[in-house]
Amino acid sequence: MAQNVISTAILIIAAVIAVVALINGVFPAINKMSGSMTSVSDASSDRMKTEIRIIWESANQTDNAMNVYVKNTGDRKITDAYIAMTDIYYGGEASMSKCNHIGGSQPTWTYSIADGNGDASWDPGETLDICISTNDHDFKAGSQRVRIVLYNGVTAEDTFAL
Amino acid sequence: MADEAISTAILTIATIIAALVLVNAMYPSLYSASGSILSMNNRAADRIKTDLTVLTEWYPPSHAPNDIALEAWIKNTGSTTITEKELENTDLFLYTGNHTSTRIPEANWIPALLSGDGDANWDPEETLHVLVHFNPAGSSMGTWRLRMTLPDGVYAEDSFTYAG
Repeated sequence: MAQNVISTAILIIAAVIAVVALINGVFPAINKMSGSMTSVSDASSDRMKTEIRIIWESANQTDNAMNVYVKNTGDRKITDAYIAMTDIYYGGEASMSKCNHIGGSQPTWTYSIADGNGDASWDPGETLDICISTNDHDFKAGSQRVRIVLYNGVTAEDTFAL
Repeated sequence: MADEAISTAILTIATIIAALVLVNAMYPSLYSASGSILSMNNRAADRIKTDLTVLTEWYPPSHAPNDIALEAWIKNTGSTTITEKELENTDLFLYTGNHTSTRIPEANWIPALLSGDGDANWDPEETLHVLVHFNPAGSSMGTWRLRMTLPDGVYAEDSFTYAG
């Protein structure tokens, strides 16, 4: 009888230790996985809530410069720090060139928020007026293409002829 | 008998803990994804329900040299109401021929609702009258194009002839 009790007690203690060890071993992994899933989910959520559309192009300055009007049609406010991280490509049907970042050498780009609410952020519904300036690209020659890639990879592209 | 009950209890507790940990790990991600999908869905639904039609344009032949005073009538042919705030975020573009075009600044166009229900929103079936002040000096005569773009990216455009 006493032998049975001791065996049961030992088995219970072993089982409890095993469960605790299992939880201790698995929990950090699950916690880490949870963090990764949340991170992936946040990034994906950010992309899903971000949307932009190119609504108009115009070459009303010189042949080597053009304006692209892009509307924030998503639900995300895009701050000026994020706007500065935007990549802009331009070119014809066959190939595209990348603009240097704001303030860099040509080809480069500048922007302003057209009739915005006065803050520096690009709010939903507001229009960004992007001026692409190059040394030698003729935007009036045939079919043209422009691609705008935001900080999170959300892209808008348009093919047009001015 | 006793050890069977104890094993079952331990296994049950372990299963519950595992389930709780899994739910805790998954739930925030699922909740966040649900909100984002809803947001995308709402935007798509909004765009499908929104529609505009430019009815006609007119400008006085004897306009001032520095102001075309272009008038346009645009109907809300969709099924959504365009609010006063959304109207403020609406863009107007004018293609004036010879590869040139311009965005008309907000201060240079005046919208007015015709035969509306009295509120400031542009409801379905209501017509918006727009008066555009634009200096045509230097622009070529010929086919011009007017485009109105709403905050959700939906636009309507129409061509007309500018004869000076």
